[in-house]
This record gives sequence, C-alpha cells and structure tokens, in this order.
Amino acid sequence: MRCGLVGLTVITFGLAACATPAERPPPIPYPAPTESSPAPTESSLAPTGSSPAPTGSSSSPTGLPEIGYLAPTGLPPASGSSLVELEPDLVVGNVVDRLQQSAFTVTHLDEQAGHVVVVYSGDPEPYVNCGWIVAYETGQLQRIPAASATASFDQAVEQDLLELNRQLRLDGRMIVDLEPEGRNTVVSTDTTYVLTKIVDAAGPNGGSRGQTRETISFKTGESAKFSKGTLCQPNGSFERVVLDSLPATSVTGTRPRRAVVAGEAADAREAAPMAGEAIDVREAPLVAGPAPLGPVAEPQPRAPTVPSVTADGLEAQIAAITAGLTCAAVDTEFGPDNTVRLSGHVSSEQDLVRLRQSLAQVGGLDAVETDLEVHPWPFCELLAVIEPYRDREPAPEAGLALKTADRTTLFREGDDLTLDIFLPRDARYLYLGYVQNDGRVGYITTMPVREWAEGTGAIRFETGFQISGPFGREMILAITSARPLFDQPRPAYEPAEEYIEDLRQRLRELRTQDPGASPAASHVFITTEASRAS
Amino acid sequence: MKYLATLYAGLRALMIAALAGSPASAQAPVGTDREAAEWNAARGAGTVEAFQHYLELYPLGRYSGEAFRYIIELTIDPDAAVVGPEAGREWGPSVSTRGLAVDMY
Repeated sequence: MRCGLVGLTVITFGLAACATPAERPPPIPYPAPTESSPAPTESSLAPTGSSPAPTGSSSSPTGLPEIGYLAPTGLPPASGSSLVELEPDLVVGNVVDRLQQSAFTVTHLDEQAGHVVVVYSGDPEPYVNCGWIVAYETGQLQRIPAASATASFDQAVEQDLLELNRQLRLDGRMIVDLEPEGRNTVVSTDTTYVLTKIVDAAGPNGGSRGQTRETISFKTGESAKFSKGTLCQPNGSFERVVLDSLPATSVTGTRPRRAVVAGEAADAREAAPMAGEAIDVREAPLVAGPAPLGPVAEPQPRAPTVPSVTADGLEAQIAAITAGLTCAAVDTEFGPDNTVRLSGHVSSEQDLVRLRQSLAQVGGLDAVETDLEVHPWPFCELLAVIEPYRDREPAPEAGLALKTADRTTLFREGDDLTLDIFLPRDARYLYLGYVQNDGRVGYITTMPVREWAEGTGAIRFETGFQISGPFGREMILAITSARPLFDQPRPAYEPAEEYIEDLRQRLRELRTQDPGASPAASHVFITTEASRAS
Repeated sequence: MKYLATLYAGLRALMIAALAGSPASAQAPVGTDREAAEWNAARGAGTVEAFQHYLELYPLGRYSGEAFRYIIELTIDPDAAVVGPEAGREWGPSVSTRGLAVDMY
C-alpha cells in the first residue's frame, strides 16, 4: 500500500491506515492537514517573501524564479598581527615581492618607517563573503555567491519582465605596518573594504529602465549590510596575501598602529624610494576614472610560502582559513610534529578544494589530514541550527537518537521508510521532518510521545512514507520537546530557507521558555536511488 | 577650480579651528592638528583630488579608510552627493537611483 511518498512532491496523510496501531500515537490536534496543507505544487516553492516580485505572493505566476537570500554564517576573521623572524627591511622585500605577483598595486611605500599601502580593484569573490542568492525555479534550486562580480536575474517589476544585471565590485585598501621587535618584525594589516553594487534594469527590448547604485564599506574584522539586507564580510584572504608570504611564527593579537604625522610620512616617502622600482607609490590616482564594474582583476596564484616553525602561528593561520568558509563547521586537531587533522563539514566540493589548496600554502605544516564531509545547503545550515540541541553520544536511556530501522542509509524507490527513535525521558512531543536535496523540507509528523515511549525509551516508527524522487542525499530530522515544536502544522512541503528560520527561532523560544527541558535534536542522512526497474 | 575649492575649504577649516580654540592652536600636539585640518579641508571640498591629497599626506591617517571610500564613490559616480558619517558613527550604505528603482540582494 502506497500511503505516502518521501522525497517527492506529494505527501498524503493517511498515516493511520498504514501504521501498526500500537506504534502509531495520535497526531496532535492540528487542523486537518489535507485541508490546511494541500498537496504541494511547484507554486509552493516560495522564498522568504523578500523578493522584489510585485505580488509578494508565494507563487510565481510568470514562471520566473523566486529569489531569496542566505547570509553568511560565522563572524569575519579578526584582525591580528604576526611576529616574523626577519628584520623589517627583509620583510618589506618579501611583502613587496609577493604583492608584485598579485593583483594588488602598491600605492605607498616607506621602507624606513615600515609602511606599505596596497589597493585592489576587481572581483570581490576571492576576498569577501556575502552569503548566497538563492533562486527557486521549477523545482530547481540555484545558489549564486552574493559576492559574485556579475549575475543576472529575470524579474517581474511593475508588470514588465525586466532583466536585472547585478554587478559587484570590490575596492580594497590595506595598510601593512612593520614594526621591529628585537631582531624580529611584527606585521600588522588593516584593510578597508569598499563594495559597490550596481543593479541595472533592462526592459524586454533591451533598453535601460533604471539603475540602483549602492556602496558599503567595512574594515578587517567587521561586516556591513546593503540596504536590501545582503551582509558582506571579509573572508581573510586579503590579509593572507601578505601574511602568507612571510615566515609567520606567532600571532601577537591586535595592535594599534603607530601615529604617523604628515611630515614624517611625506619626508620618508621622498627619502626612501625603491631604487629602480616601477611601482607607483603615490596614493593618487587610486581609480583611473569612472570604472566599469565587473571582474577588473583576477588574483594571481599564490607564491610558495616560507616554512614556519611554531604551532601557535600555524593554529592562527588555519583558524583564519577555516573562518572564511561559509556554512561549514570544521574542527581542528593538532598532532605532534606540526600535523593537523580537520574534521567536520564544508558546503561544497569547491570549498573543500580551496581549503586544501589554502592549507597547502601554510608553511611549516608537515602533514594535513582532512576528514571532512560535504553537506551542501540547506543541510549545512540545518546542522548549524540543531547543533546546540544535539546529544553528542546519545544513548537509548539518555538522549535523542534517530536511526533507520535496519541501519541502512541507502534506500531505493518504493522502499518503506521506517525509523528507530530513541527518546529522552523528558520528551513529550516528537517532530519528524524530511529535508530534500532540492532545497525543500517535507513534514512527516508531530506527535505526543510521553506515554507512548514510557518504559521503553525507544520506538520503531513506520512513517507510512515510501521513497521516490527526487533522489540523492537527503536528511531526516527528529526533534523532541516539552511543547509542540510548531504552533501550526508545517506545509507538506516548504522552502528550506523559510523553514530553517522558523526552526531556529522556535528552538530558541522553547529553550528560553523552559531551560530545564531544552529541545533535543538528531538527524540521519540517507541516500535515495531510483529503482533498478525504472 | 577644484584646487581653489580645496584650498578655500582648507583655509576655512583652519580659520574655524583657530577661532574655536580647537587643537589647531600651536600648543596642541603637532600632527593631530594638521591631520584634522587637512581632513576637514578634504571633506569641505568633497572632491576626489581633495581626498587624494589627504591620503598623500596621511597614508596611514585616522581618516584614510573614509578618504578611500569617498574616492571610490566619487570616481564611480562624480555626481554623487557623498556624505560621510559624523565622527564616531558608522558609515552605512549610500544609495542612488536613476529611473526605475530596482534592487537585488
């Protein structure tokens, strides 16, 4: 009997007819789900409603993609200083050599005072993290890095179909300060990031309909928002262009820059030009004219780094690298002889490749072992949301744990989905959801469980759902709580973005309302495949 | 003309500072006075050249980040009416729209 489908566009609610009565507690008294949660269609793929689409409805009658936004998670890397086992004049040489190989331009150089100022204009994506623009279209989920230099979207604006061409440009200015400390040098960096976003609207005939230009700025360790809510912050790569070129041995923390008076700076600049140096050390002009937006300059491959020697410096460098990841959780474990093991998850294969490349650039690492999984959005964000509620080592008598009935994680089309759920003693309600790889979340059930699980601590739950497409890696989520997780039943299917925000907020509310009975969360990943017959 | 505007604004800022008994007086710390005056002059002029002049004098100055942003904004849109924040305030987004108001994340 095919009572329901998992991983498909339709969920029916005839659960009781499929379940063993003893295993099926009554659902909590929500309105009849078949009425309040009609079988989803493609129009149910609604974003957060913050799209500039004119109607504000959850549907997209024009068939255009609905646009949502996912902000970066985590804080921007903090500013810091590195102690380098070289004298300042040698460090200056290293820094300038490195910058000459990059897309940066030196605009001020004072070797005697130990000051270098560099600027960059071009593609923001290598240096800043602005989260993702998420587009839903005919069941497909697309994620575009919001730091992309260029992107285009079709939007209905005032009943016209417009093409919105979005351009983003980064202008960065970094002050590198080199201070002698004995025979060593303390290297500090401080960067000003200026992001300019231009959105051009073109009509159906290609003519310009309007333009919006917006500028934000922030410094190392800070972030800023465009008025539409796009949050941007450094990913640490800008500063690493300098720091990676040096045999950094330890991080000394944030240091204030020395005050420099105008006469000193001007005199020193004139007194110590680099002989035969082709670099333009003037501050002006930084920008030659009304500059077109777009990928003005591409960063060059990094130069080999000089090996470093102490674990403190390595730890700081690796922390800076991992802090630049989006939607990731990476644990770092240092072993003997400058070995390091990374575990956790990142959100894409590209991030994994970039991470490995960055680690390869860290001088002094003798061995790097990565035990990282790739969990793309929305899985990565859901893992972050439930992390505070997870029991690290759940035991049947102690915490919430979720497993498939026969412990397999591979399901084929038509397979029944049966779960073993080990409940905490204080659980009163159980919520089960199903997260698909197309960016939607399906609702399985919410039920009271206290009396049901009393004395056993575990239940085998026949969900009544069967596996069907879309196929791929998917996630089943279980949450127990002292009160119902949601006040209203969730839609049969909904966009993960909307669901995640509600889940994050509701979990916080429940924990605040009753700190002694915090919700508990568990999950299991499964992989689904089409049947061999099909 | 822009040079004259810069010069005028600089002189005006110096005069205002002197009349107000601000740190522009000879007893105040050298450097701080001059930098503040130069910055005020640059802001008063509000031109790319004025801010570049400030950066040439004070490449590591207290207002170098702000000057850099002014230069970028004014270079991309010379007609932009760029107004920075008051001292101690954050500098939020500055928006300009031509034609239809459209936006994207």
